[in-house]
Amino acid sequence: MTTTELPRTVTEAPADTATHVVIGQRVAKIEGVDKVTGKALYGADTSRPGMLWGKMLPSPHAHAMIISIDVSAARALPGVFAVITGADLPTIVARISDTDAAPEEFDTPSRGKQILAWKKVVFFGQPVAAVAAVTQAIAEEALTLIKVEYSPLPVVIDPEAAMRPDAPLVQNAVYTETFSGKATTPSNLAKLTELSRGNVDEAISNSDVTVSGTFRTAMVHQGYIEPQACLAEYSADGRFTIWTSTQGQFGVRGGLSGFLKIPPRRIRVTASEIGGGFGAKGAMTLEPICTLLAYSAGRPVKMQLTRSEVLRATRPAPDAVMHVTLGARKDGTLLGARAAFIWDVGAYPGGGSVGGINCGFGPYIVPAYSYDGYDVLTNRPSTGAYRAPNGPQGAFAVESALDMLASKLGMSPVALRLKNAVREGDRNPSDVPYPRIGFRETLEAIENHPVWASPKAASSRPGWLRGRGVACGLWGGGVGTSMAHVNIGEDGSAVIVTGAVDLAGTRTTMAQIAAEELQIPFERVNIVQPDTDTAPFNNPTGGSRITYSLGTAVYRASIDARTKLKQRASQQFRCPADEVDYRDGEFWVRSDPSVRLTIGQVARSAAGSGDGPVVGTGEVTHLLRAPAFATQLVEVEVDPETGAVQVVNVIAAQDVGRAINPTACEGQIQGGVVQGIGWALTEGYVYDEQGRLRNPGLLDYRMPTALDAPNIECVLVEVPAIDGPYGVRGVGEVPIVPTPAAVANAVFDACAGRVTSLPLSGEPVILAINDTKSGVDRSQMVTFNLGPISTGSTGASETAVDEPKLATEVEDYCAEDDVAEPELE
Amino acid sequence: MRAFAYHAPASLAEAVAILRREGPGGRVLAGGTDLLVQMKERGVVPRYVLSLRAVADLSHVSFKPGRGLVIGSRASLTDVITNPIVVERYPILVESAGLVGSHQIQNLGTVGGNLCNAAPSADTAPPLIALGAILHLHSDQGERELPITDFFVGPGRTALGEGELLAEISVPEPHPRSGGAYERYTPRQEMDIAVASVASFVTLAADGSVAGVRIILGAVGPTPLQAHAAEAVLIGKRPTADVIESAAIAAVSDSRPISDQRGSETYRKHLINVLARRTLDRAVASAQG
Amino acid sequence: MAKMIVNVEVNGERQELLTEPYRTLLDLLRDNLSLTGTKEGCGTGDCGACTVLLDGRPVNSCLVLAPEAEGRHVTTVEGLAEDNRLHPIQTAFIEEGGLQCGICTPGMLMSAVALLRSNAEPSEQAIRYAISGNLCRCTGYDKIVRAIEVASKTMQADAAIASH
Repeated sequence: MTTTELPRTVTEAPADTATHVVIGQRVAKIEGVDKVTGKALYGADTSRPGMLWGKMLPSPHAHAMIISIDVSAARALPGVFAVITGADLPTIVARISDTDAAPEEFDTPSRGKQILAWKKVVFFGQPVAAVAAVTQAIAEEALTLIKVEYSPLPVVIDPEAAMRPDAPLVQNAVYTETFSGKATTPSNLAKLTELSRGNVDEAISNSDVTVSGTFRTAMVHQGYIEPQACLAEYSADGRFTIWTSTQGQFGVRGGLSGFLKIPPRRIRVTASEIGGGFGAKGAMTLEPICTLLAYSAGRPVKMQLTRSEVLRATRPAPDAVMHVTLGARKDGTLLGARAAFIWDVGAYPGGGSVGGINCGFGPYIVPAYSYDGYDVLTNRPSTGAYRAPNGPQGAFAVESALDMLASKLGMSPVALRLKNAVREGDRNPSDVPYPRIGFRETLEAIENHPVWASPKAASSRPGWLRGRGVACGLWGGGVGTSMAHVNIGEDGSAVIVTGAVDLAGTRTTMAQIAAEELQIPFERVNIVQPDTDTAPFNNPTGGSRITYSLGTAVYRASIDARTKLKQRASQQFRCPADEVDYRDGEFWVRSDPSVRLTIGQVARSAAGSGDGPVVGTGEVTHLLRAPAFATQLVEVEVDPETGAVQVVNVIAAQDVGRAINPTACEGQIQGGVVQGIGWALTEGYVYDEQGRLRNPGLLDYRMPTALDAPNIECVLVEVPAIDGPYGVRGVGEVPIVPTPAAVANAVFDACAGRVTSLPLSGEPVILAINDTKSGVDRSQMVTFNLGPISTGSTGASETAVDEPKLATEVEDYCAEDDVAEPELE
Repeated sequence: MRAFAYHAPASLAEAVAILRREGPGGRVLAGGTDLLVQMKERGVVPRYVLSLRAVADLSHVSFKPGRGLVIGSRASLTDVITNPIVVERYPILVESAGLVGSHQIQNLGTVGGNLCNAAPSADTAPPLIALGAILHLHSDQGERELPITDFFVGPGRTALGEGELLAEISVPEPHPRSGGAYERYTPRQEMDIAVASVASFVTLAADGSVAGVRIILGAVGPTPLQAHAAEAVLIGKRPTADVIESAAIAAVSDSRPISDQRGSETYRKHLINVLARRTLDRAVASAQG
Repeated sequence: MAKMIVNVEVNGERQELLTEPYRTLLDLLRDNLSLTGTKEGCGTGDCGACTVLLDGRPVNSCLVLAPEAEGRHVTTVEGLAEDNRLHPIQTAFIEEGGLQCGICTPGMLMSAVALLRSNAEPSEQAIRYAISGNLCRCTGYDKIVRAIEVASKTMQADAAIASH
């Protein structure tokens, strides 16, 4: 396929937004009718003849050896068609792939491989067996007939405790990974990341003012309302057909191909309508086990996680213990920063990332800094991506510390941030220079907003205290591979064909792009997202990449379609193509505008003349990242007697580059903000000493309701990105990054209580108020003393490096594992 | 959920006969908002379920002079909080029943069920205790009346005997110079379970002093607890701010909270102090006004 | 396990459904009647994705035992549009951006419809209270509230026209 020449950076042309017809309009959601009438089909909404129901048996222990599993009674239950345990995995995969069984591959510390625990369980609720039966009730009964003998092992659920030399080992074969190589004895410290720039000790000691604090956030869940669901079928021709709630059908195909050891052509994946993902559904959850059950049972198998399974056994966001020290001149210029973050990545390695520090220090010019990141294993579900992975945690620590610094300096928190805000050309913590960005503009939008510029409003509730707080955040923006086709119909319509999942309303924005470039009404554009057999390849949706990356592909495909149509029109006009003009769906020869051909006519005659239908194609494999920044102003009211906190107002200023659909941009921002409010106030996993989750339900895992959410005013700043269509930037992830910190800063403004641990509503606020009254600075009292860290001894390595490594330009702003990729092991 | 036998008798007499015949191991189903959650998530597997849906006359909410407010055990929370008599004469019930769950839960859930489920945090219990409610129990041996103060035995355990079910709740007519208030602390505005709660009901004498008071604490003990020490502080005294504050402090000593995932013991005690004071303030204001 | 018949009217049509007693109204709707518009988000009445109208009142269908629906009237999201015309609340949700992923939308619409039938001009607080039993993770609720406000105005205008 050929892509025609096109302007790579649309925004280098005069930013002529006044001439845009569809771009910038608040058009209605293209799939809205299906969703409001209940016709849209989500993961659990399809069936197949002869379908069975699959269920999994969870482990009641957080850490235990599996001594034996007896499934004979379960297998014998009438209506049960298949029972699988961890020990069966190598043989089933071997049969499916016609290879030799390789049990050692499943005896590795990989969550993607250990879809059922085999020799030991490492977190509470980890699946140890799966059944397929005629009804859900029979499947549940079969589970009760499975006899598992466990030998419990000591449990560790606190990451600081897990780093001590005497801590129980969560995995027997995880060796600390550092920039200088891998250790040779197993450890709970899965990875040690050391980044630095300049001489931070000197910078701190040269500072006029320093602040230090230790901040903690709890493990939280993405909270998608639709539990994972999957329907798998195996046919005699050796093909698997999968229907699943996922952020990427191609990711699932690739992941299953790797897991089952079969070529991708034997797997067809259709992505259902998705009921929320927020990063979590980029990894596979049910697909492998559902597939194996379908194969073993010889019938289609449907599975859906219960809510308690979702909370216990998917991939939550890691909690973090974060120490930050900032040093500045008395005029507020930051000189240096020291950070040490301990990430609890759960029972399998792979969850941590540098997103935390890139988001934490990223918005500011920090001449000298050091960052030590510890990814630590504990007996909890291994963690995954949640909307700007690790960004909110890092921002909570740094933005709280910045507020403390502003306080000490007697400076406005906004002025302090403006003083140190990065601009184009400044380098981020990974030493990559920022391209054109719109950060200062968001700070200025808040600074000039009446809620900030005027005196603080009085509290609306008698006896409550009102406060306002500010925080900033960024997300580097994703790219990835995207492709799109645009099929032109004989009625002058266009159908966009893409293999990307619509996670955040991107179907509509893609249709707007096509309508704009084809210059046809928005109502004449449709978009379909077929399965992996029929759709062009796309990386999974996530990392704020779709509007940016897929948008570029759709833009290119639309231009390609228009060019091909013009070529066909010129053949009909019998003149060179460069003498043909085009406007709003009509072609004409420049010298004779009286004779017109519509797109539909050109497409109709093309089919008849033997030239075939007109299909435009566009692909994207490399774009520069387009970082997006945000500044949020949060107003809270605090009941100083109970510690209750109500967020009463939010102003969210965000650089969206170009708002293709302002309603969609605002919706993304408002959703992220309310997730951030939940993270700040009420959400958090609670484990007991045996490592059992105490709140695996939506009553006690408290997500905000409509009464807990405020009005959220969005200020859409438009500083065009230098790449991509119209200067658009990804919108979806950055909104959650500043919110928890802004809430905590607002609470401090309200009641002078500095809460350094999330979730904060209730008791933590009372304690913080009391601390302030009695002059206790609890954050200073917590010593961040890691003691002797068990990293194992490092063997000699060929890649020994003298200095801690800085990320290269290729690695860019955020590590690739921030974009939720399905595991391919 | 797993298999069970399902019965839907058409009368109370038939219902208690089934309870006697089937024996232990069954559950009575009113609204189902607690029972179904227990059957799905907490491993409750009843042998049989006895539904009250077809029993006539169990959903009424009416006022009978001499008896007061009469609530059928199957009346939904919505039926109670929207009933004009309840709104006018028993506003504390509107406050409390209106806090249970969401609209959806209130449309399905019942006061009777909330009481028989006997969670220490049940929202309808403290106000009904404060109002001096009487429970009417039926079995195939006949009927009996039980003051609600004797009903809660432990977490999830009531004084219902074998084969006995709750038919009606009657709430005496409040004294003209009385008022009540209910407050609870929850992390979210709605859809939540009390971390601590207090119901205060105050009756004033003609000279403005406290003639009668009941202060009932929720979620800070195995059952709702009556704050006797707090009540003793108030009896016979004028309810000034100082007196109320002393009573609120005394209420803390009447509480027996535990630390769990919903709150620490210290914090719950702190909340009892605050909520007792606030409900007493409002109850007194309501009694005076 | 012996099955029983449950007679229930769904979206105006009488249905005679075969089920074991331990299934729920949600199961009847989704599996017996293939009305998959109503969703299961939690199974315990904490998210509201399964909200339907039972005799006109919003309830969590996941908490209604199947036989409890005997003789009752159920309205689901599939019953909102009439003669292929969207209900004003459905139109308002689309136009105001009151939905993103859409999984909470059916339940949210049912709660909204019940509100507007009993309160033609609800305040913002009343709206937020009416939908406080419907969790949404995508929108932050802001545009859902706007959509319900817009729908209430549309419905009042329609009623004014109809009464003339």
